[in-house]
Amino acid sequence: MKHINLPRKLLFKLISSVVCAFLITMAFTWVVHVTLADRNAMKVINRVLDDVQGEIEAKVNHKLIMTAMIVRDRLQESKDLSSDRLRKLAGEMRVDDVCVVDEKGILVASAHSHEIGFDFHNGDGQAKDFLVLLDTETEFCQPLRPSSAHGEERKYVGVWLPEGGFIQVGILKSTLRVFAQSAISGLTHNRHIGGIGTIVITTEQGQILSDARETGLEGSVLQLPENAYVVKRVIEGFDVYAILPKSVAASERNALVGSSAIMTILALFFVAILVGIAISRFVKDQIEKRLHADMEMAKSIQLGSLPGVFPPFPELVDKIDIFALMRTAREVGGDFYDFFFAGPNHLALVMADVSGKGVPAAMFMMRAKTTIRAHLESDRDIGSAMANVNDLLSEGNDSNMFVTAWVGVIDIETGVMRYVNAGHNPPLVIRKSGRVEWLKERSGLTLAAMSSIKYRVKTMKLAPGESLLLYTDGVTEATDIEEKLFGEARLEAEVASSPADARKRCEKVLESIEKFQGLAPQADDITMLDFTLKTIEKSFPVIESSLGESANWMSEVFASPKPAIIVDEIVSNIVRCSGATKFTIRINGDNELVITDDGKPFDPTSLPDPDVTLKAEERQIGGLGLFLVKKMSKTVEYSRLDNRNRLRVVLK
Amino acid sequence: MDINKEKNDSKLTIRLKGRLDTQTSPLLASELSLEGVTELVFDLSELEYVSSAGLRVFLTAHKTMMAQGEMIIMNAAPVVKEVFEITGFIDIFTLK
Repeated sequence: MKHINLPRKLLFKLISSVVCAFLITMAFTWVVHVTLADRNAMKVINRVLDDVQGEIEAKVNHKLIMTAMIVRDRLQESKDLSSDRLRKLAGEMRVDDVCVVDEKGILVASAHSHEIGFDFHNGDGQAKDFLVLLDTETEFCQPLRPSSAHGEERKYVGVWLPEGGFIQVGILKSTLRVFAQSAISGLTHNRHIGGIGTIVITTEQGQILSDARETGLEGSVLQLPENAYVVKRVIEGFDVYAILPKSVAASERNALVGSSAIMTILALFFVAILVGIAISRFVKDQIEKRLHADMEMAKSIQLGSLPGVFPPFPELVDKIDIFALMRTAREVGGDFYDFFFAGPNHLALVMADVSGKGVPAAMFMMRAKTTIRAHLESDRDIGSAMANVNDLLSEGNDSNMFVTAWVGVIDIETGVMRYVNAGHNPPLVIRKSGRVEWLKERSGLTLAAMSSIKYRVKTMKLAPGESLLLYTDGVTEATDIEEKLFGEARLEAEVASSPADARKRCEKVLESIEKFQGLAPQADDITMLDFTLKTIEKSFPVIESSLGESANWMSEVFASPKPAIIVDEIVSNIVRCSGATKFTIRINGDNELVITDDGKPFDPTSLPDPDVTLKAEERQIGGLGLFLVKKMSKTVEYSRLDNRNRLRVVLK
Repeated sequence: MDINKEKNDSKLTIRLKGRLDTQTSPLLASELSLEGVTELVFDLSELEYVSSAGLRVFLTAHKTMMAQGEMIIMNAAPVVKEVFEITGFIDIFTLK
């Protein structure tokens, strides 16, 4: 997967939204944690205070109950219930009030005589509460509370009397502080709040009675620290302070916020990476989709520019057979072939391969193809045409692309082909005998590599029935799964055993390559062009000069002079005697001549053979020519078809 | 076709180059003046082939030379000899 860089703008947007998200999250987290920290601090403080309150109350109550019990014991020892005695007893016990209530709830004795006769049933709520002691309870404690009878807050406790009724002991707030001080002292020891928080118990005036920290500050006046949660609660007349430095909560909060910041950063980091990956993958997909569409377009333009209708010259199907195919690789490549008439009867055949792949190769290929065609059409000298093509393609070729090309122009009336090989794979020639030859010789430099190159023009000849197979390296360099090359030997063997038909030969080779490749991917374009010269045919007007021209033509087509002698004998007859206007010589394969003319019916095979044993003086030339024809050939057949004389000669 | 004549007294040597066929034979026939020639030599080393039209010229020359000397054909290529053979001229001409 190719790496795709996100556009800078997009990257910036992505990063800034991540940063914004982070800041918002952190602000929210901060607020939440600050609130939570306050709430948690208060929760902890109140829990500790509840605890302390419970303990103080328990201690005070216990001490008062114990006092009440002592009072009860003392009163049971001596039945003197006078107010004086009770006042003295209260003084002894360091309480402010002692009274005795009978089983009916009537106050019968008290340190304060004016209270005697008070019926608890008629009292206010707080008095009525003590009636439980007449019922089931054995002791009862009341919290410190404002008294209806006296100005100062006071606290009452009661213990039951086994004979019925109860003893009530009351104590004023100011008295209670002194009474309970010893019980309170040390109560806060080791009672911490959240590590460094503390509980301090002071008097109403702020004098420290008990300090959790045991700092030895007892007795001094409490200095409230700054920057701390301070909660004061009044319990049994004591001021109880819960002090929790805010730094504890703050550090806890900071730790929480910090860890959640790290988590958030990590989460956002991953989200950003995921989003980035998703975006780049999306962008890449889009780009690839477009590239793919462009490639397909380039490919179809490229393929569309190659001649693809077969047979391409329907009027010439008797004479030539052309077939070409191109199996493109996945990526658009630079192979191309072309064929066209560069002049009358001069068919140009082109097979080329532009270096590289992709759109640049395809574009260069179009340029090369057009240039080659234009120059071959306007310049009959294939050597100078290719030199000019090379100069044009070399010009401004900054990307250093080059083209290997094999270019040939065949005279389809003679089979003579002139060709230039510019660094291309050697074509194969399939002879009439079935022999396969490579057109291997030193080739010229590839096109577009360097300007001012001269190309050597070679000549070869195809006889009727012979073929030329052009191809690109996609054929010989096709690989199988084991990276083995298809190679020239396989190609030669395939060609040698292929049917003598342009299309079938190409398709057979392709099929064999595909079989060879198996599951291996096709790396390069596979391109082939087969040209088969089926027959050679030329028509001449019946004039004297046609004798020489037909003789010239024959010597071009055939290396051996015999066919020329035969043609000379037959044609001279036609020109001199037949009254024809036109005659045609057709060569099928390398040993059959068919000569037709539109003259008056004449069967040369019907003539008697001359006597070749006569002496010179008696010899006549007439009839000797046709006799030669008969002698030099295997078969001579005459027929009259469509008002034409047709002489078929099979050579020896 | 090229016709190269070389006359040495009464000996005429003619070198033929190319094809001796229907078209070129009349040329040779018109070039062939045999007056006073007693020895006519055709050097055919560079003659590609001969057709019946060429044979006619050789026969005419041969008939003329039969009266005034001799005609020799030299260095005929196999295909030329083959034509002479088929047509029986090999028995009439003197080939060297």
